[in-house]
Amino acid sequence: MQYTVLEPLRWQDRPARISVEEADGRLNAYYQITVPWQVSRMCLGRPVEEIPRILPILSPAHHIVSAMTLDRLFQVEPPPLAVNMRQALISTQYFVHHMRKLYFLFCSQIDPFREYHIRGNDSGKPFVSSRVLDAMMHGVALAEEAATILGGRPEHPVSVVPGGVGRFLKPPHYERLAEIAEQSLKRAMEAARAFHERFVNGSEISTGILELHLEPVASLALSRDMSHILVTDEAGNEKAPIPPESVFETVGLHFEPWTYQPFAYFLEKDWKGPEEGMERFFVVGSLARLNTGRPYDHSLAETERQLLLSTLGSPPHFSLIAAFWSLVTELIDSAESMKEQFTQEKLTGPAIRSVPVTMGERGFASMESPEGFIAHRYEVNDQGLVQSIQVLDAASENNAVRCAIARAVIEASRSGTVERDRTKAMIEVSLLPF
Amino acid sequence: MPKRRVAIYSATGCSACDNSILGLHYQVGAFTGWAEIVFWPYLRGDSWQVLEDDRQIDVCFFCGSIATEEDRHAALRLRAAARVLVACGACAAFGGLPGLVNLIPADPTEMSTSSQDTWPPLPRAKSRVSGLPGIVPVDYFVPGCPPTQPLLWACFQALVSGGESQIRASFSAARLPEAISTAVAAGVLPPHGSTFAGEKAVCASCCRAKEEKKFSRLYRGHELDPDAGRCLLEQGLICQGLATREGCGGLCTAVGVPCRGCFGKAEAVYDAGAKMVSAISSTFDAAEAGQASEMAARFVDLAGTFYRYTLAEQCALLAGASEERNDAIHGS
Repeated sequence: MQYTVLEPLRWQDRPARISVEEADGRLNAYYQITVPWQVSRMCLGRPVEEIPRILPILSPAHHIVSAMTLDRLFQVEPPPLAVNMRQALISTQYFVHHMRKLYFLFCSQIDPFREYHIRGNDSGKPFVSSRVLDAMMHGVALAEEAATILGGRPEHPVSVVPGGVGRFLKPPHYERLAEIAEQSLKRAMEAARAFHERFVNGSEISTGILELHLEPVASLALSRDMSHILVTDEAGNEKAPIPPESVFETVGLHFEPWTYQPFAYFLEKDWKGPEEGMERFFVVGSLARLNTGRPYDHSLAETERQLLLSTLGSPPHFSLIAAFWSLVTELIDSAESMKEQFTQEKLTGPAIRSVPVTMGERGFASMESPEGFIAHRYEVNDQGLVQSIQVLDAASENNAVRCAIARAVIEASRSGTVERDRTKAMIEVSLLPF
Repeated sequence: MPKRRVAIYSATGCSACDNSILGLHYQVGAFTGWAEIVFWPYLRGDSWQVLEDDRQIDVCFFCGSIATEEDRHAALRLRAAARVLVACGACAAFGGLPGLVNLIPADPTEMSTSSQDTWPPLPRAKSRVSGLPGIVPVDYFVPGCPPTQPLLWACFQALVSGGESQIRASFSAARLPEAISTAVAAGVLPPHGSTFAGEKAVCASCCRAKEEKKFSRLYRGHELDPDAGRCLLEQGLICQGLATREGCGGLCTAVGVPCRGCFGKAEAVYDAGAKMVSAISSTFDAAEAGQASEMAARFVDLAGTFYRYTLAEQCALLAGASEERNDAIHGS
């Protein structure tokens, strides 16, 4: 029996490692999240209106879906201005998330901090020039500024409240948001150009870094009108859509003793770990949105998507290049959305919030976050204190895929003479878009 | 002058602090002129092996709370390796949101039963989450969830540049307490134990005006659309600005939502919860005992509200709480 541990893994939201076990020619690779995230213990007993301020620790989008859950619980409709401000905030979250992922990809073979110091010196062999990396992070900073205007804070927003948002914008905000939208689109197109030069038209596909193909798996994403959950199987066939409200009756969570991250899986099939095949699992996020065939409303993003499809073929896609490319298309789409949404006309209105006058017993909401489909369900007592909470997050949904990726990279490395550090780097890059 | 050797580590947290440090990208060009980042698992994938030589770390920024045995060992190891240890963010400084789990026992259906006995082993979860000061002595604090970039930058200048920063008398540094800003400007270390934030309460920098200092009804957050520009507490919303250290500039109150204390208690406050109860009691305009009782009944989840980010380290009633004591309380 031989044991190997690859840690720590770069760019993971929570500390993670890969543990490898080899015996008699059989290999097991475990993707382990090594810190607990006890959401129920944090939320039970809290006043339910406070949950949107606690759950953003999972990701910024959980702030918005939590407030949407409270809209249902309190039976209020947010005014159009609040809906627009929420959508604008979501666009900034997509932009920041996707741009940061691409930044990590582009500097995956260098130490970005060292590179900043020796700017102009090409000894680090970055995938793209320091100027492009600078431009990308400038784009992140601008989008975070927009997120601060719209959400109060970028990483853990606070301004979305039950029934609306917390404040009106002011004239200087409109001007600044318009500037940011303009700049963000330029940054997105620049990142897309760099991606094409190095990974699509360049040599990186053929030299290996994005060659990996996932084991085919179902894809799950919310429809654009949010009325139903789209599921395509591993061959790309559409399955019966799932009403969002019944997602917790369709998807279960399973805990293993070797990781703090649960596995989301289709309840219609008995639990078996990812080492037994992927038929009961699914992928969420940009690749799943690509595979469920969601066209874009915006021209540049749709052009990019069509280019992806003409280059790589029709969905479903399970290659790493498709996963990163789908991030690029959504980055462009988010920037175009910001241009469309960051206007005084869209962000002005007579009311920002509908004040609830009644409270139900339970609330549910779901949305497509940058990371993938997320859903919340709360039950409260007559004081409005949380009695039970269910949260479906993208990290749990992609957990099985992450395990499968780790195993695939380890197996590929074992067959050749790949060094341990190189194997770890390949796993890190492979996990990045999920 | 040799570059300072800098480590950045994340225990149980959400990576927002790492991303805030990464977001200092405009300053990084200057930063790496005087600092060499030698250990940053999140961004560089550094293993503990890089700390195995005898060279000390000059400054370590520790993010995240202590929720597992592995977090605890990391705190001990980095304390031993670093000349200066900084608790970066609310989780490291006070336990943060993960500290809320200390209010109720573990839910076995939510958390897997971590195991050291089977392959692959998983770090054992502690029954009580704590902040970094609950495990090792801490030299400096940068509070916030996550810390704001101006304060982070001021801290980097103060602790890492060693007087070499050309922009050390920056706006952000000038807004710090006098002892810290003077030290930053002079290129010497600020007083031990300093917090890179303001000294007064959030109210001092909140954009909302206090007028009557009285309110006659307590509202839950969803029950009121507050007037713009007027103190939220005066309008009957529980806002913790008066007990919380300033430095954020009133980010939350500016967008119409009450402060929840992610910068920890203000310098002059002994216990944030006691301060809030006292302040609300004295601000509530009740003519009769019945009115006061009715109002008191509307207070819910005091511990989870007043110690939202600080339960693990700044609640006076839990001071000195240990994992063993927590186990005894919860009967586990």
